[in-house]
Amino acid sequence: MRPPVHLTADACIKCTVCTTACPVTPHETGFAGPKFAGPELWRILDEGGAGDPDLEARLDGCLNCQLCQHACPHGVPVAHLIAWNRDRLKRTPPVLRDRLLGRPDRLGRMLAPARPLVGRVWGHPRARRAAARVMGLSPDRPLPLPVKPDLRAWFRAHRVERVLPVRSEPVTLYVDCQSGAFDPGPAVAAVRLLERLGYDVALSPPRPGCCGAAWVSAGRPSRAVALAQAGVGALAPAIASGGPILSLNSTCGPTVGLEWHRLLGIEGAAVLAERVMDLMTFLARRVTPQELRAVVPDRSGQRIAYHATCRMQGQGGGMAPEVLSAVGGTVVRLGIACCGMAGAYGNKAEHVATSLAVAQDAARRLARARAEGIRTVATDSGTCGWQLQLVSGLPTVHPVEALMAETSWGADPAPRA
Amino acid sequence: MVKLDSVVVGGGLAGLVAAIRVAERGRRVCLVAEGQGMLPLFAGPLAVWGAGTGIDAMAAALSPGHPYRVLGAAALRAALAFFRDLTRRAGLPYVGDAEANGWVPTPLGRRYPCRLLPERMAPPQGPAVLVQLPGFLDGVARRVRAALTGAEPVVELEADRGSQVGTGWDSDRWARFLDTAPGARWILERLGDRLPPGDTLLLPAVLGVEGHEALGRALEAASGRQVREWMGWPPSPPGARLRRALVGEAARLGVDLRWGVRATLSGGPHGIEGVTVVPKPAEGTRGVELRAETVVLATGGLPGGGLVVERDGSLLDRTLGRGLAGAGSRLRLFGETPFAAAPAFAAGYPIDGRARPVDASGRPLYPNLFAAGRAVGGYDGDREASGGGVALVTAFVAGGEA
Repeated sequence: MRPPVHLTADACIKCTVCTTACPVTPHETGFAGPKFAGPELWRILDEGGAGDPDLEARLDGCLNCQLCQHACPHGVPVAHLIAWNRDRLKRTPPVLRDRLLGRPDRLGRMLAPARPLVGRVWGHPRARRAAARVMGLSPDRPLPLPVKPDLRAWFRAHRVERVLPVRSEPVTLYVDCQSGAFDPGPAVAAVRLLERLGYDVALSPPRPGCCGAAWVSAGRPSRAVALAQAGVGALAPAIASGGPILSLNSTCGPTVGLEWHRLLGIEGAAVLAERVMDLMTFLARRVTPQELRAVVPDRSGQRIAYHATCRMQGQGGGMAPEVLSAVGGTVVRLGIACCGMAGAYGNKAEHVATSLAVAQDAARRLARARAEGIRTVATDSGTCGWQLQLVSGLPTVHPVEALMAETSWGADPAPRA
Repeated sequence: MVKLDSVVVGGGLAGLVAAIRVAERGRRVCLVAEGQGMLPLFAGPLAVWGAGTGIDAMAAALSPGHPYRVLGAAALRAALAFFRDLTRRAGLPYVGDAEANGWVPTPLGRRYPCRLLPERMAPPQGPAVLVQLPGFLDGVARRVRAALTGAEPVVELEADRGSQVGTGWDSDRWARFLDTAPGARWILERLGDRLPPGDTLLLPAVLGVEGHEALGRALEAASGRQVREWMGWPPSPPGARLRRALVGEAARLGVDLRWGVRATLSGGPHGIEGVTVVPKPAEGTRGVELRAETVVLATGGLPGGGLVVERDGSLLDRTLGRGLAGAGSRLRLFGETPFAAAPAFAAGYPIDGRARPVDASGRPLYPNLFAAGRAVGGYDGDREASGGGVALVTAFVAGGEA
């Protein structure tokens, strides 16, 4: 199959700006770098070249942060080219570990009943090392385990609480794997917030499913195609509703809204570009600060740090700071390029060293923020949150959880104007 | 819809300097950029006029459409002074003489003429010792000597057996390695002592981006010598340092920096009426409307992606959605040989004395639209060695008007 990348590699003028933006290049000697791994290799493979046999391994360090693509001044979809190049070079089917990590939705459902057992194994040093070796995971990292309750079960049982008058526009909350299978916290906060604002909220897709981002990041976008096709079908009621489809994750959102169409070539997905919107962008554009202040706690005198994830930077940097400061808080932008977690990348034994090396920048900036009195960090992705928490020890939440939290973010030491 | 005083489109040297100047005048300004600007490709030394003549003599001898001639010698002088102040405040001081060329050694052993250059690249004082990094892709120290006396000793650094350090690394890779703690240790251990006599250690421009200041000082302390860098080619750590310094200064002044968004301008009878911004990957969707009194176009021309070549050889300004006079065919855009003068190198808008793009009759396209850097035409930055100076003077004037 010819990968449906929206532009060819030929817009590349080989200026190398992409390589200067890559967070992996300085830490992984064998990594080919985005200019070669993307447009150059695309041309080589298109001309029928096979490259040398280690080439696949030289591309494996890519964490799909897409900062290369973001930096390109000529519109070359560098990261998309890398993803498909990796796919085109794969000679063997994925191993068991990668099959599990490629479907976070299933993984979460499998882990939920086994949670006590898995937790005990991971808590025991020797058992953990043995299990990690068998699975190809890093033993030095906490294993993400599903948090109860299940989001959909909670949603069916929850009581709608209104503060502002009911609005006519329906909104759909896109349930990503993180919200649906691992941590319902941000989604619960989002539902409560939207209902207080007067919206009728639907969850979609109705049954667990994955957008395919995990397979794309693992260099197998061909495996994401079927998931995306099923996803378009599952979102049909949301598309038909005419309202926005709100995302809580800075990777899943653009995967559904843009990449199903442009990276994977899914029929019927183009319409999602106008419809899928990050929740904070929705709040910044459609809800007034007065309305927000009427439904969430006042944050005057409170201070929070914000990390716009790599993928959020590629979408214009995120609107969370505007929203969080609209309710009185002071937002410190951390300025981290990429935290290095990249979904399951940081859990894989062969990538954990690179993941933590990339995270050094985050660790430095968080240590500085902490010294300046920051006590809470907000970011738009659960897995990035785990990484920031691991390297800083600071509690990390989704911006919507920060909005809805009953506790303070921490005091603002600066005198207020 | 968001209301602002001014919007700067483009985040390279011209865009950042223009936005800083607008912000310093107390105006609310937003900078929107599609990528991260071309500064990571900038070698560091700021060329103003390769021929070396003083500013007055140079401006007087230029053709009438040249931006230096249009904006005038006084503006160029003020722009260079502004940039020196700005870089000093931002912690990356540029030094040199606005009226006469200094130089910096190139990897090919030539002397690159420039008026302002980062302190770390100022010509070496006294006898120099050159440093060759292992596996370095961007030049050979022995070759650099041709720009100096030719007799300088070269210290060849070696990586440990089995180490991956330096295996075919370019300048960017080296700089990012030296920014890490193991990288800094690596070079400090090797350049601490047992060096041949000399007053100055001369290295390629790889001494870090984030931590370049501290690393340079540590190396001077460890070696007991002055540390200097020679010029490299893209991608270039001194450009990345300048980007970091200017972005920091812009943020400090309250410029709202928006990277990764595509901007399109909509004009009406009274001027540019709005700027629509869309996250780059979502191009084609509705986006957000910004309203501003003035707009600066600093979109980088052909190299920066602000202008594109259409199939018929005409030029298209993607931001304004407007065609520019082109060469008539794609082939005629470039000369017979790679470095011959050609329309591609001077492509961009002609401007008036307030840095506003003008049409063929010399009338401003819009009263509130200004242009800076490579978006401006009528000069050949590479052949004249004038790109840095034109970026600054256009940004300075546009930023003073917008």
